[in-house]
Amino acid sequence: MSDVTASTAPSLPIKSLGAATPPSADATHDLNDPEIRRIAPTRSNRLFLVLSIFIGVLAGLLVVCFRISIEWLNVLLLGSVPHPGQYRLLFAPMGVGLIVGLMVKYLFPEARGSGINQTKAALYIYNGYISARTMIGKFVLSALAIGSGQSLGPEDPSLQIGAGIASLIGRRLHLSRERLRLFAPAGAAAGLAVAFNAPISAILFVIEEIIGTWSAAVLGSVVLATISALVVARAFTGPQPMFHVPAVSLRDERELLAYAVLGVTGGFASVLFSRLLGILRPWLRSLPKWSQALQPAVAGLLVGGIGFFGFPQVMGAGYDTIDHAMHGEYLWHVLLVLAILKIVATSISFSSGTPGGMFAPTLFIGAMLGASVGSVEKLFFPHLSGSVGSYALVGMGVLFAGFLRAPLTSVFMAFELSGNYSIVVPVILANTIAYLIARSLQPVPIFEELTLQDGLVLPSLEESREETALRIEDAMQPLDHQTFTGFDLPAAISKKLQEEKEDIALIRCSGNRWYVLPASDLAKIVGAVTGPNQQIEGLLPPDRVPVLYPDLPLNETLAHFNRWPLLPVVNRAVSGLLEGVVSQSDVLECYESHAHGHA
Amino acid sequence: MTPTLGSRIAKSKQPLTAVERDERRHLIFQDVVALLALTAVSVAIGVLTYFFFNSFSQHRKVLEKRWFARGERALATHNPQAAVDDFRSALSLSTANPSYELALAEALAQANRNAEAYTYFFSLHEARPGDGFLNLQLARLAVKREEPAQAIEYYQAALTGLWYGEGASQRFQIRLELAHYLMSLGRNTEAQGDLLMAEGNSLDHPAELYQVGNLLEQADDPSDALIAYRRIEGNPGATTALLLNSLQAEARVAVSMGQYRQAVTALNRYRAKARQNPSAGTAQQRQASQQTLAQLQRLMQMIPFDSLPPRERARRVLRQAGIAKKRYDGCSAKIQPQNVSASDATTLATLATAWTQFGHVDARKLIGDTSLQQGLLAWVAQVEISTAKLCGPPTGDDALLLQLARNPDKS
Repeated sequence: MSDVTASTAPSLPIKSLGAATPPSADATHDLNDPEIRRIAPTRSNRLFLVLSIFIGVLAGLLVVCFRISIEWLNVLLLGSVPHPGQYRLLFAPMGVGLIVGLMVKYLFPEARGSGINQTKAALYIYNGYISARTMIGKFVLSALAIGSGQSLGPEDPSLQIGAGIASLIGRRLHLSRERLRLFAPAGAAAGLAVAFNAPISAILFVIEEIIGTWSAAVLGSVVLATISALVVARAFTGPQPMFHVPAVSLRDERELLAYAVLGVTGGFASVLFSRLLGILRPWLRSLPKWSQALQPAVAGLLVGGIGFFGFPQVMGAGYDTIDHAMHGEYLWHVLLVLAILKIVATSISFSSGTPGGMFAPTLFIGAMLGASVGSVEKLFFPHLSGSVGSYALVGMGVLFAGFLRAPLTSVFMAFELSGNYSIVVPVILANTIAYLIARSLQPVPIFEELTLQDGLVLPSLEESREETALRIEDAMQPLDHQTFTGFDLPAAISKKLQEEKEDIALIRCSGNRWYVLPASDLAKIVGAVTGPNQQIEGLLPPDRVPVLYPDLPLNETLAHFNRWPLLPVVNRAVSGLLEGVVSQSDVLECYESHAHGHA
Repeated sequence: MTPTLGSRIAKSKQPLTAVERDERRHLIFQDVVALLALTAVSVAIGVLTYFFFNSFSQHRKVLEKRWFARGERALATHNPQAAVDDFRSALSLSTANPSYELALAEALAQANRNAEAYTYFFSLHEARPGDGFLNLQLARLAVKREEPAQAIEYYQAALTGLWYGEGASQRFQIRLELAHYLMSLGRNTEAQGDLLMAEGNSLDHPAELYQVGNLLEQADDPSDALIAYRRIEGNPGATTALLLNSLQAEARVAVSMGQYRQAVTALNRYRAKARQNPSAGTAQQRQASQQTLAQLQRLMQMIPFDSLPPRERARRVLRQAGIAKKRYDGCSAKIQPQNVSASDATTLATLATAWTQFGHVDARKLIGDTSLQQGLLAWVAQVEISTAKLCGPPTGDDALLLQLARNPDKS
């Protein structure tokens, strides 16, 4: 998806950022981060939140402009309502494709692709850096491409535009690298929320696919930016949802079988789509370099040809057609043909390097497939209460889960697009089936595959989700050491250890906190005893072993082995009750066996 | 050397020096300038976006109105398929516009694309469940989809729903439509109920009463139909043409109910009214009424009313018997035995046997013998019905006797 390959990427470290020097060492600004923290300790957090709002506002405005640009170009180039047989359907995407191809090659090389992987690359490789040139190029070229009828969507570029404005603001204000990396997802979520008019889905998608984790800082910034963007955008476009979805209901639980069939169909369709992209894109990129400037034009001609010869619905984002499909305006075989042609058209457009996204085509394919399956099922089972619209809606979620591999986002997207909670069970069922089928037949998600094709190695957030997290209990050993209380006498402890031939004593001190005392330290303490009844607790240093529970992540033990040779693990219900112990060698052994198990 | 944690913590707790205070002021100033700059940029982009957005909104409105007008012209020229395409184009430029959706739904319904029309109307109905028009459209679509329960439910909702403008008139028409539909399902009793409600709401509207009367006739409720027609007569708003029609209808219903005196009365009133208003009613109607009146008057001369003197009554019975006997003889002579079914042959034989009993009856025997009169009249009725079946429809007095056989006098 990205043509931000290793050879064209901004080089590290900071010199390639918008500023001539790293943010914390600007020639006109002598203060570094620790100094700023000293003189204005709360500045960073407050500025961060305020800037999140500005990022949201600007991202919202830019994405609204972006969408309107596409609409204008669409009307000017293809007419208000394209019909088959119109020659402009051939010439417009071809001519604009030629312009786009040349501009991508010579002016905006980093504007290729959808924008998702570029944003991820910015986050993980380039410290959140997205250049203004890339952002402008993405805006202009994606608008031209989608407006002229290429089978691509505006959501992914909106995400990158939002991330780009966040990066630009962060650089201009000389924020730290750490903050820059946090701002990019906030801008991305804001841009995507405006494009979808679905804030929860946008936030979840960014968390699920871009950053992979969430913390209070990230979530706060992302939510603030998203809300700001949406408030601004809805001042222009209004609050109505993206699709006008007819009423959706589930009156009989046996109908879930019908949706399960849709899940299976969608799973296989997702695999087909992924495989086609996986074959076509590398082949086109293997062609001579000079041809890459012409590929968008050829793609435009082919996609325009599909429209010219009968199916203009596959051109552009296709939102109108999705709306029509939801209202049952097509027969099942027409819907199926539209789904297949959209897969082909999108593969051609995207693989040619034309800037533009895959969200809208994914929703289109899912809606057509869902409506087709629903229509066929209703032919055989007319008593099914679900409308064609409900199947189309579930179909959109199915492709989102199966192709884009964002299952959580796909479920919430169904809510936000329909405003109807009753669809949740069919959505979850169908999406899960599609996700599992797609994952088993195509283990590498499409985003990761496209990144690998570009020569980059970005973290696979799907893989990291699937990884089992190691916990302390995985490395914990049974308690095999002598335990004592703080009231015990040092000499008695020493004698016991000698009798049992042990070299570590676990001492339970006041407050149910533990102290791990090696035999060598005990010998020093015994030597320092001044009275016959002096208890051990009074002679120990003040620090205590940190409280560790079995369910905590295993990596939480690593910071403590410098101080403690052994770490007791306690019970959550009974304070101070030992469950077992863990040593550094136990931890390393556990990691090693886990790694071997995955290899 | 990197400061230790302890020394860093210690340093951070020390009060700021003068240089550090200056630096903080400078930093705050820089941040304020940056935020103001951001605000200015946001406002500038906001203004640009506003004008850009508005430019397209205006253009889109022009386009959508153009497509919508095209669709309306297509509908007006009875080209619903073209109207569907035009309305769809308008809707694609202006999603979620209820009036466009409504127009598209109506065009789809007119183009008999019922499933699509249903989906659109249903989605509109979700937003406005109390809208009478939407419920009516859904009812009509449910009728086409052969879903009677749904159709009746929507009709009822249309009756109780919100109507703008002439709601009473709309509701009246819906009731008639519902009654018509119920009759098509064979649910005449329910249809009668709706029609009576419609009648009750139309007492001041003679044209509507006439429609109700017609439908009540079709719903096998002639007595209520008669009442409806009679209500028209005393209504000052009734036009002469309507009055004449209602009198004709009244006579027709009265005949079907066997109320021949009332039928004659109605037809006489028709004749008087028609004479007063020569331009009202067609010549054909007048002629038909005249013929019917003449026939009824002749029939009235044949019916042995209870109020007649016994001698006259007996004479009429004998006259009927004579007419029927001639009919019987003529029919028996015409039919071939091999063309008659066993049951018909038996009927004829039975009639012949019965005649042997009645054949020697004279007026003297009939006077005062009611049961003999009834028996003879029953024989006459049986003869006319059987011969009509075997030898075709009778004419003349036989036709009148057949009418009497099928609808005995109840006046």
